[in-house]
Amino acid sequence: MDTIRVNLGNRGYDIHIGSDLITQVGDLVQPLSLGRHLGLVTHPALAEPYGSVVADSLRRAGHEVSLLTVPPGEESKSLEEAVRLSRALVRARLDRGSALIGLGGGVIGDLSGFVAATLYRGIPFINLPTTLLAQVDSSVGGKTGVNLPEGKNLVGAFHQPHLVVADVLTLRTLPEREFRSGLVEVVKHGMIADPVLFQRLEEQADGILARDPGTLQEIVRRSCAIKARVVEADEREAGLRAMLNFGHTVGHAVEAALGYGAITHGEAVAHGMLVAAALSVRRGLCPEADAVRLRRLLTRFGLPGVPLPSPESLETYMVSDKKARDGVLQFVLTRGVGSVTFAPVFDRDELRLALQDVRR
Amino acid sequence: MKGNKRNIILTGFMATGKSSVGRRLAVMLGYDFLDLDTLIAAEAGMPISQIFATQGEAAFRALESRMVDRVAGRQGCVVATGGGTIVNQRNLETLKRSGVVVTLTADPDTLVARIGPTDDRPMLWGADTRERVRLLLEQRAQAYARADLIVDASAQTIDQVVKHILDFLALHHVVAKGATANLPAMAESLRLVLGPRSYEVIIGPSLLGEVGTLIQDLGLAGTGILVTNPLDNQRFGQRLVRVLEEAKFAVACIEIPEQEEEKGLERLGWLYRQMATHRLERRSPVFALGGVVTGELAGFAAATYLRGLPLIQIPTSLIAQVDSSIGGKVGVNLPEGKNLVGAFYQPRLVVTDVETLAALEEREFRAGLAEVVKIAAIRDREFFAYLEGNVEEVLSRDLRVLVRLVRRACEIKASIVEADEWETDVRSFLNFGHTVGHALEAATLYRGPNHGEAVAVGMVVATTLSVQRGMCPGEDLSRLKALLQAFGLPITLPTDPAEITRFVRYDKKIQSGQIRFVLLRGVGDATVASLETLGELETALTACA
Repeated sequence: MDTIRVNLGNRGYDIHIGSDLITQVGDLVQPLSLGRHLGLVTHPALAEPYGSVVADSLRRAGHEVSLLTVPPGEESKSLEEAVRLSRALVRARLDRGSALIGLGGGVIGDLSGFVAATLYRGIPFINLPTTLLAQVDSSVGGKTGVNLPEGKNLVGAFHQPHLVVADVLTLRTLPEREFRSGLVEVVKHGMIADPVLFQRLEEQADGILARDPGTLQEIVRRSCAIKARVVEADEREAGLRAMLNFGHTVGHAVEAALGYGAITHGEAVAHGMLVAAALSVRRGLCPEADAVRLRRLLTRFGLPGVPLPSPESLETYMVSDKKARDGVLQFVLTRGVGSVTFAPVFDRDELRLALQDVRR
Repeated sequence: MKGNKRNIILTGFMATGKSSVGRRLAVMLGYDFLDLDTLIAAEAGMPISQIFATQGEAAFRALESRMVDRVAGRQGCVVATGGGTIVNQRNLETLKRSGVVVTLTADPDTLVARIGPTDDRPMLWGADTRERVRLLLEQRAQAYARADLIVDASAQTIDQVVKHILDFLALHHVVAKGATANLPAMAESLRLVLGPRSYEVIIGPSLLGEVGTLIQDLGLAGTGILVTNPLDNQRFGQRLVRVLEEAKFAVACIEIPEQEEEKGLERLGWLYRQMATHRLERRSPVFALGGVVTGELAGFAAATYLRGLPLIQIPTSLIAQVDSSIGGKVGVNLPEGKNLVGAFYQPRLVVTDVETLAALEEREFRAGLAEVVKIAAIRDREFFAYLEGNVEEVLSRDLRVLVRLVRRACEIKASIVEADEWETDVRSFLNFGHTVGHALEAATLYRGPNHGEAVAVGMVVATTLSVQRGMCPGEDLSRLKALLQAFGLPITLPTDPAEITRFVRYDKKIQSGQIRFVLLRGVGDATVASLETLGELETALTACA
């Protein structure tokens, strides 16, 4: 088991990464001195076997566990579902000393994290991410929230977990497309801050795709470490944290243009990274060889998997991006593998050419 | 100094602005303000309309004369009388001996327009309002004419009337010339020191007009929203929107009813949608103008929309000013209980204009006094004594006394919040009276006692429990009861004690099965203890039934 400490003063916490950790959750939470009664939130499909395994482990450690499930899918990340959970937890007699545990992917993490942030004005939250995307991205940083009909993640809170336990064995049952989409964020972390991670991905691609636990543990650890360092430097997303948006300006536009559901978030971000890299090469910021490495690695992982929509169809969505200030797009560009920079993009032709580079 | 100051007595028909003018006049002169009708109601222990209904006008007038004698025995006061007080020759003479009598007049049309509903105005019961006003004016004309000064308030603002009176008083050497003061400049400010979440609380009269200036340096976006309730919107909201516009802030005004049952998740969802419709971004300010419901609901929406928007609290009720607007507790109710969902979210600024309290309904105002008594009882024996010594001024809503009272209450609350922002320790003292209080509100389905009244009873129960345990002198319990009663607050349980016990067990302050109670070692000295048995609580509840 590897442990990464996220240093945020009295809100600091550990991320444990390893194999077969969910059977040991009861022991892992002992140092936190949680209340006796705990809430556990997961999807029905994860309740067996993972949910039971976690609950048993906690019960062996002397805890009372109330298990609640929410339907899978982004639609569950709603205010209504948060309310339903909060009410159920009150009725189950959780009190201010209780903690809430989320077991699942990003939807479970964001939703149950938000409930933990707001129930009784905040109770401890423990995240047990079971998807690659959640393990390397959404479980680190304390962002919680739900969607409104008007937009995604409009309601939320910053609520740091008390503990994150990433069991890489849970990744073995992940559907292939979801697993590969999660790899995009790992590639992103390598691109923005860790050339060694990037190189490992290139060297260990076979082991990763075969979901070898030891290999997965290493890439998840390196990936979490990067996110943790960025979050430490910029907890409230005032500046530096924006580097994590590498690939997201175009990525969000691709998602919107194709319609949510037609493409995964990871696949869209893969396109976005390729476009950002092409822009960076055109500006002379990034050696062409590094852009080629990025494309090769993604291709090796079967990404993006879905063709890039036409520049015309993307443009309207990019201007409405919330990161566009006064119509000028803010881009995270790359200086090569392991290094990023921020730059505005004024020239629509420049962007169009970069999009065409990627479509070719 | 006070010894040589002659009283200023404001008389005149109802709705001529005696109280509003009187409050400002008093604060400018450094006098105490007394409202005769309020003192009569306090003395009788019931509203004036009820005195009329149960005992008749004659009983009321007798009581009124007694109170006239009492205020005439004091010096350095601005006194607002009832509309009919000086019709009684003896009252007029007593008042004239004690100071200068000023009549405020207005034409009948203006009066009828200002009077509105007549439920609380027994002199207008039973007849066509306009006709009744005309008749009463005629009857009282002679008495009103015997004042030292008559000011027509029909077409003048409060400030103009105040200036007119001050000029007259200076001319006749009743007060020194140049006694006029800049009201906003009298504001006091208090800083809550919470690291990067620190903020100022500005407390004073006439501050609403200053909000635009006060928010200049907060780095806010130019567009935002103002969340308020219909009544406060009518009284202050439209003016605030203009003040903000002048300072280059465009705000959309959103009304929510100031009712506890509206502080739920449906209203919250609705408010989020309003925020989305108005395209708020991360620096868009949310102004919360109103009472507790407005502040906590708008505050929670601000805390969670886009993971946190800048919040400016402008509390208009006493309970909001001394309690809920500072300290960052925001939240909403679930059907299972109050404030079960919420956050600790500090505002960027609190603007507390004590003049908004003048418009507060009597019962609301008294409810706020319960929280003031609570703060004094848990932390500051001297402040408690100050309240005991200034009951009349407090009830009359003397602005100087209100500034002092709100400031001291905020200071104490601030010191507690600073020591324990996340309520792990001393902040729980602020829950004094709330364990039983919340249970009482819930047991009566939020239609019985209001929050302050419930807390008043809760404090009496908690202190009774403290006396039972032998940790608090019985004398301190008597003082607590006496002060609450003087403020017109209940001190006995209106429901079956068993009902309360049932609800107490649901309270969120129960930690791992233990019921935590804030108890008193004496006035000014609180402590937290676990309930030993439910029977212990039942005994205290029964003693207060």
